[in-house]
Amino acid sequence: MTKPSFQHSRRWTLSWCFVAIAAVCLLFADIRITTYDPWTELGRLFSGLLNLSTVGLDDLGFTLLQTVAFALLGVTLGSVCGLSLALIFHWRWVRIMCALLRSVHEIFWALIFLQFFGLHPLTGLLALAIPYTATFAKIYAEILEEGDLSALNVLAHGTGNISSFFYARVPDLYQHFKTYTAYRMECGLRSSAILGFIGLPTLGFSLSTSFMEGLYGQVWVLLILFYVLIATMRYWLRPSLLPLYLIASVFIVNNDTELSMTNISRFFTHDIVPAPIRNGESLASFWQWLSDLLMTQALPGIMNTLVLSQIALVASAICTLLLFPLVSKQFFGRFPRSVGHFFLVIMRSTPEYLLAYILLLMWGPSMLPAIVALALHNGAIIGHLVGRYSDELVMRQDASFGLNRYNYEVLPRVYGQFLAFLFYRWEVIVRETAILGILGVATLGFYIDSAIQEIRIDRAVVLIIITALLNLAIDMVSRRVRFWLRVKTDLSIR
Amino acid sequence: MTVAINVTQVSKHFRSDKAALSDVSLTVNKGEMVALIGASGSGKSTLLRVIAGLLKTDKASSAKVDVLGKTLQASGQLAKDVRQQRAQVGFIFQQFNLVNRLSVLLNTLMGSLGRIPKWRGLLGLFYTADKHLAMQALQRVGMEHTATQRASTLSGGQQQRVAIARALVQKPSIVLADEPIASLDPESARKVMDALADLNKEGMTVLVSLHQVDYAIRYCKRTVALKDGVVVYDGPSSELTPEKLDKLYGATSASEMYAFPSNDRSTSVSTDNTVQPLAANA
Ligand SMILES: Nc1ncnc2c1ncn2[C@@H]1O[C@H](COP(=O)(O)OP(=O)(O)OP(=O)(O)O)[C@@H](O)[C@H]1O
Ligand SMILES: [Mg+2]
Repeated sequence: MTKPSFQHSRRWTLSWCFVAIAAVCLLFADIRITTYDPWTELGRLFSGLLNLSTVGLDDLGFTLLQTVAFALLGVTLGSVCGLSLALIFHWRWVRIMCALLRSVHEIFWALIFLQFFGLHPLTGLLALAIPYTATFAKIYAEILEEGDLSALNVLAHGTGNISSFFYARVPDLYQHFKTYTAYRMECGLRSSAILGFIGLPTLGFSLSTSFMEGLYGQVWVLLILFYVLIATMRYWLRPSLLPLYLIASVFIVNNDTELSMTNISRFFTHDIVPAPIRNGESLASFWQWLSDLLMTQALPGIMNTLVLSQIALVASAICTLLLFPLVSKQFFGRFPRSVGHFFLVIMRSTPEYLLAYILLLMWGPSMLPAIVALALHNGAIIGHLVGRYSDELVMRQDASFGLNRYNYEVLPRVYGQFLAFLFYRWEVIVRETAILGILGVATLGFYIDSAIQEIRIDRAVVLIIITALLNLAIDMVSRRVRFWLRVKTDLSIR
Repeated sequence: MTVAINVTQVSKHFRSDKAALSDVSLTVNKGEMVALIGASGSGKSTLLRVIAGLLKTDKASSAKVDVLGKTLQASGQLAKDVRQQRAQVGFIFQQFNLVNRLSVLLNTLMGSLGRIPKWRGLLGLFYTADKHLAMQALQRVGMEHTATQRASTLSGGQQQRVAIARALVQKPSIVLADEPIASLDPESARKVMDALADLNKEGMTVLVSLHQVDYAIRYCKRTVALKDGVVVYDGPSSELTPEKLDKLYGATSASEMYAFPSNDRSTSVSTDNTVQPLAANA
């Protein structure tokens, strides 16, 4: 008689599947350090911390104000539009439209708007507002839905009437909205800073200039101010001051670029029209154009994006599992934990694009900088969440310590939640991977950026649409996976 | 007779004026099975945790806890080798004993983690001898058929029996159990208590806290009764008549200390630990 053996769980099987996929991807990945002396450069970067300098940063205040102003305007606009859409989110076409808008990264939106708005403030404003509107619509709708349920409960149990619902429930809902909007505002600051890398007058612009000139003292001043800005947000960003800030922001972002109607109409009637059609060629040559684009750019772009993102996903997972004990009460006392928190907050506040940019300068072009950047940033975010979750665990008082505690007590208990968080980030990681192509890794962003450089907007638009579809597909798969695992994510991560 | 546990003049305050334990002294000999009874909040868990070295006593100079002839803590100061000493004490808690996601066998094997090298633990490379020991322990509590199941699939009573098996794999000389049968149905409670009684028959020292006095009378020759952190009775369980309990705790509290209606009450102790089902005659 054979004994029944232990049935491994779905999460176990799934984890190893993803590790195996990542291992296969590694075979195809371009991972190396190409710079002659990577560590000296990294050393120089950190020695910049010792001689902070604002020399040559005469527009420091201007840069910071621009960054904040774009974030405030973009996120507020997104929040207002998002709320309106949330009310009609049960309409199917609204949901589909929002999913599509959300799947295009704000940098791609900015690249598109740059073509016809130029450096007009509308470029930055819309690049932020459009994807944020779509995200807000989805999450606000979810919050409202949860509110509706409890309203129904109140009415069903006859424990109150509608007016008591409004008194009891609205403040609660408002709190949810406020918390989530504040969280998105932090994301908005990061997005706004990053838009500088493609030419807007925000932090990324000054950062890339200082980097190019090797002025690391300046780089650190900019970074530190950025961290302080994010860390102190809850002190300076008061809802009551918001109207004042918004009015000021309008003046700050305003510049003397004029909107050119000819540019705009040329974009829609000429630039984005596929070249063969524009030139009045046959349908056959259009197919030729399209299949050319798909085979030589879209396909390799998709492959590289998937290869890089799958490696980055597993690397993020490993990072998370290594980092979360640093901030967990199960393992460390108050002081070591606060050091851990500090590190995680820095990693979380540094956009992956910026991290990848720095690492790329140090190590040269390959997939490595992108992988490390994605792993550190996402590992810090998920690590923070898993750490907080592990604080709530109850275990027997004579449970073991150290490695054994990690391995046998904590990990089995947090693993499901960890996977839920991780797969929620999956789509974000793919979206960011595409973007990192702009830095020179051959993911979709690389081909999109090149097309724009060559002023082949028609190609860029097709590639952006393909990227969006890829993101949608990943989003769907990730939702399936989470459903299959029967794990749920809460509001804090969405 | 050798002494297994010796508690001398132990008091414990938790950041408040009220003492969770006040001036408790207690000696348990090797091979005894002693019940610790008392109402909720009387200090049972606190005393057991103090004996296991999981909790420090107040700093009074006279306070001392000896386990198997060695000082575990004195004057609120844990001995340096407290971790090694703790390994000799198996602890069974009221809840959260097992890791739900892991198999019953692995949960049991976790009792050996304390004595194997770190890297073996990390890789899950348990010794074959320990695996045999774990299976034996599961057999002793009648749970070997569940070895490959996930712990979450077990009932509350089964989980407690696996917890006993885990404590056994630790190779302890003493087993402390803190209300192992609270929140269990009578049938499961009986099986868990039977498992503890079997261990005791084979020579294990067992100190078990119980909310309900009937089980103390059925399973343990000796009972220690706590009230508001003070030992109010320490003697043969057979002498704990309802009248005696009324005197110790007051009529209302005393009546709440019975698991079964008064017409089922038996004041006789089964001296040989062969136990009749508690509610068989109900
Ligand atoms: N960690 C703690 N912090 C503060 N007070 C505590 C703590 N643990 C126990 N106490 C207090 O000490 C007293 C004794 O508690 P203890 O848990 O030992 O009682 P118990 O007899 O085990 O009760 P129960 O039957 O409810 O488990 C109680 O008044 C309790 O509130
Ligand atoms: Mg207790």
